[in-house]
Amino acid sequence: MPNWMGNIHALRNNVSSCNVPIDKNFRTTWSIQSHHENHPVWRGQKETDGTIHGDVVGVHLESCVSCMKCIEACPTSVFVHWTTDEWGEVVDPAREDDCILCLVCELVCPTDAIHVKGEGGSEETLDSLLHGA
Amino acid sequence: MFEVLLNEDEKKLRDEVRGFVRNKIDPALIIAMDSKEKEYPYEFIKAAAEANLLGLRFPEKYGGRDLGWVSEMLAVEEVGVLGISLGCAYSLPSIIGEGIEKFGTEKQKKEYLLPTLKGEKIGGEGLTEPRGGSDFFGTNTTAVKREDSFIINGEKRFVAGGVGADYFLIYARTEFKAAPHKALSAFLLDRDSGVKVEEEYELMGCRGMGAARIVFKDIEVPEASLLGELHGGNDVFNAMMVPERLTSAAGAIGLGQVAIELAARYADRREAFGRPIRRFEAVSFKVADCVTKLDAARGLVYRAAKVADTGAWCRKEVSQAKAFATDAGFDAVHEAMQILGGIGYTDVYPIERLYRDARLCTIWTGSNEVQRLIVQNEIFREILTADTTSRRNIELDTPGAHKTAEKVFTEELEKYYPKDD
Repeated sequence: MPNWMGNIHALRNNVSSCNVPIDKNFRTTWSIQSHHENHPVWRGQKETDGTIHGDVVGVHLESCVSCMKCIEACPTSVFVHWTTDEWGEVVDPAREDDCILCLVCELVCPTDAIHVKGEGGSEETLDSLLHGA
Repeated sequence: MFEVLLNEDEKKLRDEVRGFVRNKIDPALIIAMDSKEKEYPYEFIKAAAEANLLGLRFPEKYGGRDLGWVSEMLAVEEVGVLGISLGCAYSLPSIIGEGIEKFGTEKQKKEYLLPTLKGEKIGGEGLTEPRGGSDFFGTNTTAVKREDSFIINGEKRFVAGGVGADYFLIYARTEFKAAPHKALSAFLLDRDSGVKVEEEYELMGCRGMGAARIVFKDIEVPEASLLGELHGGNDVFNAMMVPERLTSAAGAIGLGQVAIELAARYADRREAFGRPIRRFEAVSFKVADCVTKLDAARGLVYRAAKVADTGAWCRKEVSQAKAFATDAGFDAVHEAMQILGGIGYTDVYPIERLYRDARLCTIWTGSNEVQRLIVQNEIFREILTADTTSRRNIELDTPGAHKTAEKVFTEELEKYYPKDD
């Protein structure tokens, strides 16, 4: 997949985040706008940040190039192919509750559009270490 | 060396510990531990307890001597010359004891602290988990309240005394929705409550201390096993990190000091190109730099000890001391081996053992990277919140001070982008 090919939405709306890696801090710096298939839908502070679906498994829809490699790689079928008017062909982490945190999706994603929530450590635990008194 | 900073009592204690280290510890014990022939140095603990040298800071009624942090640092530095294993065995009663003495009930002090300082019980500390140690607040082990008990599930890794200890001070998550520093609690857990050893580690150094991974599977402990407040693990952790890191620092100084002294004596006798190798600056400057760093490390350790003696918050001072002193200790052993050359790499001299030991000092009790993370955090807070009104504003001491347009700190990323009409 040529790296200039973002998804339809990104190209159509000139979203600056097209084909940029997912913001790994989205769970603390973005806000939940709605829910879809039992997972949250996040929006960044700026319009151009785009949209992330999922909590345990976050997919930055503007970065997704619909190569479907994550669907093939995921051992627990977390991802589904999703066609929408807004983003065109993307993947949705519809079964993120089944994620076993193997991180293979992060590994195969050519645009770093996916981020899996780590267990037991976070910015929050770092804050507790530094400021928790 | 630090005579000028010590009072008579402190010098007397240092000499007492120095005598104990010289006379009471058989080299065979150190060799057996390093050869993986010992499970735990019980006889060392017994001897130190008999000499009333364990937990010097704690009240006499629990077996201590009511001394200050400076005295303890002197003692640990002396014990540190025996290597990291015995330094660790000597420090654990102080580290675990801090948690029990500060947060324990009278019953816990009598059942755990007193016999620990008498050498009758061995305590282990369960902090690091397979998922990490420095990221302490991510602890995965859980303790769930059920009527008058807690049910503990989880595991702890690299526990000194994992094999050999009678009880463990462990941390577990007791609250599942609060911020991490309000979610953990400390517990005192007897080995016979069901603690299982699943892995005995083969270590590069620090051998003979029963380092293991221990596992808790549905272990039921009475409510009275809780150490301190429920969800109050943060307070216990912060208190225990003072002795944990200061003993690491002082031990590394002792270890580095004896290594570089051995190398200096070697360099004075060993000849190359017709003269003792100490006549070459490449050798003698190593000794100069290492001892200077060890002395600077003492400065940091004893300053931290003085602050700790006041009871004030001393995390910056403790972390500075830990990172600097363990780096200095390792450097000293590293350069000592370089000065000895090939023979230093053999077991003809103990430098290779001390080298394997010293390598751990920069990793354990919070890696030196995490110490620096803590130090920068404390320093930025100090600098950015300081009242500067009584200080000279040196920003004005330059001809261009008035050029405020040049003092740029940020710019809009899209400042020069073409504007859409």
